[in-house]
Amino acid sequence: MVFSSLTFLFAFLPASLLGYYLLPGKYRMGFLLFASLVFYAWGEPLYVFLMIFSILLNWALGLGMERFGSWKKLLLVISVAVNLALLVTFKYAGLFLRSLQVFLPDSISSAPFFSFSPRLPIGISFFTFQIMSYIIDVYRGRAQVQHSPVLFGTYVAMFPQLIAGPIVRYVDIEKQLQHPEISPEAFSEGTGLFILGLAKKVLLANSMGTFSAQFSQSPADLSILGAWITLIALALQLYFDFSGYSDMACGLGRMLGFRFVRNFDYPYISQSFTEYWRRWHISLGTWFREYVYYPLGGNRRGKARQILNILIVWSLTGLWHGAEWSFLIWGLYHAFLLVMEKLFLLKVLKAAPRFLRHAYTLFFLVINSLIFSGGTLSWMLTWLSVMFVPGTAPLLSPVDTAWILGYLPWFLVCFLGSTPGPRNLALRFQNRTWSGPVREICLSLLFLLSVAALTSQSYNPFIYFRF
Amino acid sequence: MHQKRSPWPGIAAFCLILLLVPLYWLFGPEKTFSPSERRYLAERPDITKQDVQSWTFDQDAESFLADHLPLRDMLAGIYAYFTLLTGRQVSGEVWMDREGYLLSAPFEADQADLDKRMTRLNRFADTVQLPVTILIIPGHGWVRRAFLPPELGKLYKDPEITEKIRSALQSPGLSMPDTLALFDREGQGWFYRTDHHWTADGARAAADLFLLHRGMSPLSGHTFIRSAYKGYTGSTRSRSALWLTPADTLETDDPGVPLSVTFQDKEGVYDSLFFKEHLASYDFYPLFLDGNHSVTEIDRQGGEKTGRVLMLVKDSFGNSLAPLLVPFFDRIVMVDPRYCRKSISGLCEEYGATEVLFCYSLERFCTDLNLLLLK
Repeated sequence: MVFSSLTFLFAFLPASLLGYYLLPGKYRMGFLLFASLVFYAWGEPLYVFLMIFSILLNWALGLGMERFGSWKKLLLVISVAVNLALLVTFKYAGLFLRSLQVFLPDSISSAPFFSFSPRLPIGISFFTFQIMSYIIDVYRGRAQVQHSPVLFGTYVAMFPQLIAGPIVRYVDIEKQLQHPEISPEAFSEGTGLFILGLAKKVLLANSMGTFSAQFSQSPADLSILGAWITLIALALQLYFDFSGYSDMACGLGRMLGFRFVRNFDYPYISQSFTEYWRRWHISLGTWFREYVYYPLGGNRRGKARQILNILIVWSLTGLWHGAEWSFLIWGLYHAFLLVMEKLFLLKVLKAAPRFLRHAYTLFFLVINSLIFSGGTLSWMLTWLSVMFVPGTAPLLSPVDTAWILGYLPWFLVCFLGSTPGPRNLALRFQNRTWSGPVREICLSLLFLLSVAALTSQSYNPFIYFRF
Repeated sequence: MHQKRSPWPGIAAFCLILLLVPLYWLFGPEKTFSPSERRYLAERPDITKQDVQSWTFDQDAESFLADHLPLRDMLAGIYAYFTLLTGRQVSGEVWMDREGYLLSAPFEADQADLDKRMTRLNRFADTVQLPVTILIIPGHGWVRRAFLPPELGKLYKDPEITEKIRSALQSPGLSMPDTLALFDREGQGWFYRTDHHWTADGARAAADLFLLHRGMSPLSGHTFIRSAYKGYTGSTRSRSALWLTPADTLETDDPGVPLSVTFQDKEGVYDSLFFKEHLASYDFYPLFLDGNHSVTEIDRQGGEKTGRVLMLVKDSFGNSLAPLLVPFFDRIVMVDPRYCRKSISGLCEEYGATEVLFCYSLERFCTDLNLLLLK
């Protein structure tokens, strides 16, 4: 079940909110856990048992760490090994076996074992990382052991952030699980954030998706401008899709009394890739920094080791995004740019005019969306040749002209929406007497348009749904 | 000073919407058919063991909830106008021109597929050894392209596709009058505002073109009784959800001669070309010859005998063309390959056809898979 479905909006959400608020406080977390398991089981009726197993095992291992202090390290190793084993089995086994087949003789590679490719449990990358953050922080003494399986289960399975993040670290939510902030103000803030996220996804991301889908099937038919603008549309789709989902998750969290970390901070206004990764998917970046980069030594062991650490982290980040080698290439692409910036580029950029810094970042982000779209190597090369090799394609075709002109207002809205401009405007006028009613009217209109769009769109998948 | 706004109005509105919709689903009337969309709505999901095993229940539930959303038509309409007003109609199936006509978006014709169709058609003409006329009706969008923004108008490829068809006519019996030149005249009202079909005037112009092409006299030599029926809304309006588009007036031309109409897939003998019971339904168009049937026979019983029998192979455009041809043929046999599996050359022999007319919209001619089975 995704948030931008009618089943979620008008069946699951009202039932969950009613149950949550009508029950006495002490039963709320239990109900939230139950609702979250139903939410998960709706899309994954069998894998919900995998998640329950994972919750119970890690809860028990956490308790074990507290009780048997001398075995702490062993219990940590067991937990991390089991969690990674589940992730590798369900997410990467198919990729590794397929890749291994290439190097083996036919008599061996044709064995049924090599065609093993289980269906990916929804959200496994997110909830596995959340569980690992708990167990590692308990080991490090940064988090208290959670004695209640219900509260621990609620932390792992809580439906707002279950299937597409943000990746909530246990330490960030530990106190809120005991004492969620229930207030009309929090609920109102949550509805606003949820509606904004829904509108980002349904109105903006889906529009950009329609545009890019028109052209991405056959790059050989593209014009030069068409190729560039399609990649820009892909980049905007990616941002509004994922940040919209994160906003919805944070909004739902607020409605239930939780405050999740902010996952996006206008990444497309960045002036370098280093800055971009401080603004894009912040919770994932934080997780890798805290639990992989720093333990590897970060930047404390010299330049060469730092570069190696960056390569390791970004290879893993790439593969986290998808079980395809193209995602590894995507990760290494980012690693390359980040290393270049660490070595010298940041100094060069600092001296460059501001618009050049933006242009540099946006140029490589546009190329990023080509790699991230997960096409084959020949597909990407065809695309790049249309963009960069003179004479490969016409500057503009009639079809491209029609689509670009038709979608021009949407591109402008998306450009504006990916800057802090609208937020700053709202903040500037927030103390005026009319700002309250105007806010409610705008949100109502956005909600109406989003539901109208959902009524018109039968196919509505999230890009990040299967990560 | 910071003004503290009350959160309650927003919360109340949000919760009210969230609660009213499920209450409507649970206790509201359950419709089975949507006249505006012209389709049956999804039924309430009935969970079976199979559904649970294959876990298709969630998709069924989503389809049911989407189809039975309160104010569904209004919401679809709001989004359709929102899309139109924000300039995005290029991605839709139906485009509105500046005079408010609803036009089907351009389609792509696959060259290999078209070659197969033309091979079948040539073989058919060689088999029947009769004059075979191809009357291809260009798309409403191409005809009204001047009323669209130039960048959209340029996307219609009707002349190129028609030319490909013409250049592939090899059998000596085949001929194709120039319908593009006929309809490429602005302001003639050839098509309905809310439908992809031609109007009575459009059908008359095509009938004249065909009759003159085949050496017969034009329609003006005969008297037809024209009737008009207000409140006609066609399929492009249904597909577009642009509900504010004003309805059309459906017009018919009755040759006013005694005749009998029979259908191979429906019992009874009828003495009219027009079936007025359809005026009470959501779709008027089956007023012409009761809509689409596998084989329809029209036997003229009055007037001079001509010795001509027409085999009219057609899509729905043929239904409004046939009444105009009645005075010129003793018998018209209409075949709709979408509903008829019989050999059409066999039918020509069975009915003693003296000539064949293929009457198709360009898009249907290029996309109807049944034409790939033509024999």
